[in-house]
Order: sequence, then structure tokens, then C-alpha cells
Amino acid sequence: MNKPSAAKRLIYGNFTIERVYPQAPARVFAAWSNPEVKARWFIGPPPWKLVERAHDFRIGGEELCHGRFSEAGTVTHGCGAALHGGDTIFRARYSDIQPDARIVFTYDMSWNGAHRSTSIVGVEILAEGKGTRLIFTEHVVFLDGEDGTESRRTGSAAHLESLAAAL
Amino acid sequence: MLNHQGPLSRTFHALADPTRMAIIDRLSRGPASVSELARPLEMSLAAVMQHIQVLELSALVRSEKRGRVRTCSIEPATLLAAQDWIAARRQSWESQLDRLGALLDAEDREHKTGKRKP
Repeated sequence: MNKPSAAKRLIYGNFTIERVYPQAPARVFAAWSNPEVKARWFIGPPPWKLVERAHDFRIGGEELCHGRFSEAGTVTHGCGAALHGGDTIFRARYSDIQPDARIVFTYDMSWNGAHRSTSIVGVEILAEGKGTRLIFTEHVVFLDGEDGTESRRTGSAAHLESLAAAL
Repeated sequence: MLNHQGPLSRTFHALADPTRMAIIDRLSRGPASVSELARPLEMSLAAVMQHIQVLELSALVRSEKRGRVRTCSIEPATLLAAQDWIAARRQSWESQLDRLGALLDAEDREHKTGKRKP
């Protein structure tokens, strides 16, 4: 377990991502519900490698995606969203599934053995013309700031600039 | 305030001001009282207090009152690690959803060229 610290605080965030796909809602939904299809897009970028994957797509079912970034370096994408390489584990549980319409799940992310965040996600799959509008909304609580950058003097401004660039 | 968009935009709002950046820069060297922070700034103590309040609301700075002196300090480690992490979650899903779209497009092309999967 992490050692207690007076400075430890919970920090909350939320974001929404929208995409419009020319394919019908059933096709988009299948990309989430079919483990074989999901395994083709729910991956990390090189040097990410899959360690273990399991996907039980039903209400109450769980999904696991354990990946590893073998090389050190800043990596901010992928199944694991590693910050500086290492092991990432995505562990989700499906709360609600409405075929071709919506998926609600919660997930924990850990990075190098430390539980970093817990999230609630809603994926809305809406018909739009012949295609689909997908609205992905995530509420995330960040649990562990202890492993973050220690920088004080040099860090702040550069850090926030890179954050601004990332958005 | 832009707080309906969540903590990240709140942070940008907080930092999108030269006075607040100067306060952050000063606090990154160590804690300081409000009057110490106000000294190099050409504005009233009340105006400085307002800037500090914006920084506190965005969780970049915290302050503590001891007697008559309010001392401010920066909170970088937890907050910046959190914001990095949350931004990374978003970026991760952005690229996943793009990959999903590319995959569906590739399936469509396969169907058109007759290489339909069983």
C-alpha cells in the first residue's frame, strides 16, 4: 500500500470526446462488444506490448487489458496511457449495456503497480443520418499524486506548457 | 470562470494572466506571505488577494492563515501529476476512437473489394 501523506489529495477531472463515423450504430457498437474487434483498436502505440487481455462483455462482466511499455520515455497514448514506460493495467466492469445505443462502465488504471485513477465512462452511440455520432464522457478521480513530478522551481511553467500543448 | 469545462480549463484560466504566473513563479521558490507576494507587484493588496483566490480555486496554490499572516504555497506535485494523468487518459481515448474509425473504414474497403471475411 502507499504510505499515507498529508499532501495526498483526490483530484477530479472530466472530459468528453465526440466522433462521427459513417458506419451505422450497430457496426460501431460491435467494435466495442466483440472482443476480437475491440482487440484490434484498443491497443497502445509502439513500444506497447500486450501482456494479458480478457473481455467479458455483459452487464457485470469485466475487461482486463494489461500492457507494457518496454522502453523508458514519455508515452501518453494507448491502452495503458503510461507516462514514463512500464506496466499499465486497465480493469473495467460493465454497468449498463444497451445494444447499438450505449455502454456504461467503470475502470481502474494502474501504472507500475500503483492504482492511479478510477473512472466512470458513458459511451453513447447515436444514429446520425446513415452514420453514428459517438459521445464518450469520462469522469475520473486521480488517486495518487505521490509518484508525480517532484519539480518545483523548474517544473511548473514548462509542465503546464506541455499540458496546454497536449490539449 | 470557465469551470463548467472541468479542472484543466480552470487551470488555464488561472494561468492566463501575467500576475498569476508571477505569483506562481515566486511560490515555486518557496512559500511566501501575501504581503511578500504583493511587494513586487504594482497593485493593491486586495487585487493580489483576488489573484491568489483564483489560483486557490484551481488548486494550484493553497494558503494558510497563522495569526495575522496568510502564507501561500504552491502545490505542484499532486496537481501536475493528476493533470498529466487526466490529459493522458483523454489523449489515449482520442487515439483509440480514431483507431476504431480507421478499423471500420478498413472493413468497408475489404467488403467493397470482395475480400469479405467469413
